[in-house]
Amino acid sequence: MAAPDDAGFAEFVSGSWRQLRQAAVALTGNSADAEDLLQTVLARTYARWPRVARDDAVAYVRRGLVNAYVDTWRRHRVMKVEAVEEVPEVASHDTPGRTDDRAELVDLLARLSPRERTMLVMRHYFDQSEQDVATAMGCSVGTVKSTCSRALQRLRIPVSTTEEL
Amino acid sequence: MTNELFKAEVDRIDSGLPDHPDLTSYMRSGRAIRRRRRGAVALGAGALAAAVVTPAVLWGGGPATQPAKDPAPSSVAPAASAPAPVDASFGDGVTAAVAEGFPDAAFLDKTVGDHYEKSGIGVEPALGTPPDWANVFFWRQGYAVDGLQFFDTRASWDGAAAPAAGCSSTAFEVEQQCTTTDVNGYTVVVHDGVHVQGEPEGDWARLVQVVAPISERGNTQVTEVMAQVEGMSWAEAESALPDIDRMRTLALDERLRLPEPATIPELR
Repeated sequence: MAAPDDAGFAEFVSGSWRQLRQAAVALTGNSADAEDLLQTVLARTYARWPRVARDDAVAYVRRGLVNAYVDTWRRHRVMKVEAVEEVPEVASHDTPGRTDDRAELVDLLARLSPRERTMLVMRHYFDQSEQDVATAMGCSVGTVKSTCSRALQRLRIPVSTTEEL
Repeated sequence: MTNELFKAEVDRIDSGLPDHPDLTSYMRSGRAIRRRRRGAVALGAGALAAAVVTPAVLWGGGPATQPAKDPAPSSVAPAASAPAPVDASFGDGVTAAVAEGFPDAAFLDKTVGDHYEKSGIGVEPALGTPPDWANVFFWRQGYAVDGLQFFDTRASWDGAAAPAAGCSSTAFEVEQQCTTTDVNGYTVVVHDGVHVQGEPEGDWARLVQVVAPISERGNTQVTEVMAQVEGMSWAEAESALPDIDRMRTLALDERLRLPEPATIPELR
């Protein structure tokens, strides 16, 4: 017999699964860590579901993803892949701002530092303000701007003029 | 524009993860988290309350009727006439008792212990493979009850040197009321309006403990029923939590009482 709140949790996770899954991969840069991250955050979400459901479940899970990931890389202090300053040249794209294939973006994301990926996802995938990202990451708005700008450059995603430094 | 481009790129990633979430796994882990939180609550009720409660208050009979407490560690030697051991069907009896008092309760999970296992920074009761039924000293079952964050029952045995349950101003960070009464030789302790230190603001619990007289072998048995709500003021929680009488009736139900184990593991 299912618990009374299970149906709501299942509906929420199923409905937002695609976005959560993609965000987790963008944060961690690889599938294995993304899977672990989702397991951690969604288990915590379920444990508090009656309250989470009453508030803003989407915001709770997004915050949970970022916090859990930041906790992980701050605790370990070991980056699997160091950020690189130079991105290998690739053939030109048919559509500006789009990578050639899906695997390529994962490779490019993996070359970013965890901090860069976190800021990018918060700012450009979760649509959080630069101020909110700065507060969460304990840095200035200027640092958020410059970090995101450089990270986007490495991903070959154009920065719109209003967001350029 | 940047956001849309970035989102489009991220959404195109081949994540390598399944198309559908593993809900069962998340829920199982989530229930384990709830259990751990519940464990912290129980420790607050037992260990801290024991610091100041007197045996006379707990056992009702006064010092003259108190069996002598063994100051030795909580490990208890097997008795010559050990009772019949519990088995897996014990949980069915608990669920039947719960269903009578709380018809909408849905069984979620259980934790059974015949020994302690390390878990994080502490220890948790765990069941061996195969189970050592003669030494089962802990049995907890969780239920989903509409409107509650959690609801569970637990029965446990401990050695004579273990902290006793009772009312104490140091038991919880916040406790609206605590009462102790004698019912048919049992001491019933009702902790009401409990907020556990470290839990989010708005979490309120009601905990009923039934303390049995010390056994002939000097062990103590406590049976508990606990309900918790979240995100409320105490005034809201007071009416949202199950009625104390219903919880007390359940806690006193013989089906919740665990047979005395042959031995009780030391809690180091």
